Amino acid sequence: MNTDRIQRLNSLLERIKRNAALPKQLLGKGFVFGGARAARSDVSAGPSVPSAMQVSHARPIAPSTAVAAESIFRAAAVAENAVRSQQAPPTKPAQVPPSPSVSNANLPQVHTQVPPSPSVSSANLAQAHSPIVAMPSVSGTSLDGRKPRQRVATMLGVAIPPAPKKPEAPIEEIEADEVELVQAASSPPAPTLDRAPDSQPELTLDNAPDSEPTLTEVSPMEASLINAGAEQRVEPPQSQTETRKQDSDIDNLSWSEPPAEEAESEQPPPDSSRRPRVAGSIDEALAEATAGTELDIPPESGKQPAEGVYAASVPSAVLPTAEQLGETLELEEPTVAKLELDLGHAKLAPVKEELELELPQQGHVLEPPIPEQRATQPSHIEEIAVESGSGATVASAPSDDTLLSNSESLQLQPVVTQRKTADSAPAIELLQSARDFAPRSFVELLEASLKLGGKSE
Amino acid sequence: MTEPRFDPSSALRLDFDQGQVTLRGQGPCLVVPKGALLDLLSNAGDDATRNFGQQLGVEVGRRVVDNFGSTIDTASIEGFVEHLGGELALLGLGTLSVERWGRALVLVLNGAPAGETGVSLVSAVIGGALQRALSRDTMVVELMKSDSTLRLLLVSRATGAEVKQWLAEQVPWGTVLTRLHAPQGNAS
Repeated sequence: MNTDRIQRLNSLLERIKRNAALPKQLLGKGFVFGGARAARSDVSAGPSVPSAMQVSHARPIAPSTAVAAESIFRAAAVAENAVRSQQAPPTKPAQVPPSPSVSNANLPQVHTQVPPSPSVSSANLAQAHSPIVAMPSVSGTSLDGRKPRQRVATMLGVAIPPAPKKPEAPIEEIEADEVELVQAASSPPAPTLDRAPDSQPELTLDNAPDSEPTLTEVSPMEASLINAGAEQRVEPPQSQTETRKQDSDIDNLSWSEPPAEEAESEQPPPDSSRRPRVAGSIDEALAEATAGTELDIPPESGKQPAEGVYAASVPSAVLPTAEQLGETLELEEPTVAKLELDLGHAKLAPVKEELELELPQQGHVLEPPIPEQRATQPSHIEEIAVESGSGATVASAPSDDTLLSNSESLQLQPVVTQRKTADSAPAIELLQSARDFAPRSFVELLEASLKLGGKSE
Repeated sequence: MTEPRFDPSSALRLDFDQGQVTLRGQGPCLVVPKGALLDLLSNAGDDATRNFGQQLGVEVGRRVVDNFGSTIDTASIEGFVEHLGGELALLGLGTLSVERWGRALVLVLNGAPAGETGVSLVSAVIGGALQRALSRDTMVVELMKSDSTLRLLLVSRATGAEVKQWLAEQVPWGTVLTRLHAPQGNAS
């Protein structure tokens, strides 16, 4: 019994979620998104969704809807009225009552709570009767006191408990995609399917004032579930606790865990692998270390053999062995000698620090090395000789061969590449002549320009 | 000695009664849209465009000579450019200025007629004007052209052919000017 009910509830929840995820394209003409509603009127001044689909078996358009359409499309009012005259009996906005009564609509509906509601227009009820998914208006006047989060939730059809302001009974539109509606008579507060027990109902109709009760429309399947719940005679105060209990049961069923294996938990750990205990603090760890606790030996390793190849000699004493000490040579006694210091010829060596590096005495890499230093010149600096004899030192990266055989590099003949000197200076003359040229007249400049290229005629 | 200034006053006269336009008192002129004239010249061909431009340039040179008189050979660069540029501006060929790159004389026109036909027309007008005013046979070579700036190099005909060849070889015009200043034998 419970499992069947839970399954049906789950299927219903999935259906509600699936319907909530669908795009809300079907809008009743009485519902307008984002429009600033005019005061005390059903006309929305600024609709963001100007179009609405109309189904063939929908009821005739309500006067309030016609007023809204006319206010939105004033330019096309004549043509639109002409079309409506074919579809619905013409009604004048001035003759329309501001809020038709619910009793005017003789519709088979599902009303979990149907108090006499003078604010619910017949147009909205007609839309509830039609397969159009009735979307609530998010304009501020009909949903005053609601936060944007609540509005979104209402639009998506997901019931989020609003702030407990209205003590009135709720009207929630879940789905109206079925033509056949079942009326379920139940006392308020009606048990809702996807709402928290203590949640307040939501007003989803556009024309309803603040204090008006709301209307909940459910599909036949949902209505049957509701009726089934009503047959069980669940008292409203108890329904809250039962709903919570059912929710908890559902959660328990959906998130059931396998039974814990007690025998497994009672099994002691293997003897060979004692689990190390983590010390709580450093002091505790030091205390354990000084107490001489036994080290855990992995079962695979076992104890180290005392004999054989892998046997290690454990030093029995702290003193070094004779092999470690080796032979000890005793030095002779130091002799006493006189030191004669000649301060006049002595050169005080500069005090060098340990980390100080000595730079080479050669000034620049490209400079020819000093003959004294040629012998100590690094092998990666070679000399290239040319016929003229003037040399230029070219530094190259040291190779392994040059590093290994310094003596061979000393035997190489110097090869010096001599740089060519500029043998002509017409460029300097050209610049000088161009700078000095200062024509006094236009004709002179023109003559100079005509002589350019040396081929003037 | 002061040079005469260019006086554009009453240069262009519109006779509404007779429906005639005169430029410096010379014969009836036609006010023709630039685009229509360039289309006509492009259809007429290069020779026709060159001849048409030279005729216009000869008239420009004649007016420049009339302004300077006998002092035209000693006219300064600024003075000659003022008069020549004024006459070109009256024709609607843009504003003229002179750049001197070493010894090279480069005329710069801003707002000159665009397109190949426009460049040919302006070159022919300037060549004709210099021929008439200074009795110099020059070759006007398009050195550089941008959206609104046109640089024309004034060289001899032999050098002009060489310059055209360099420019056809995608040699930058700065390099062309440098080559022109190179001594003989090192130009290329």
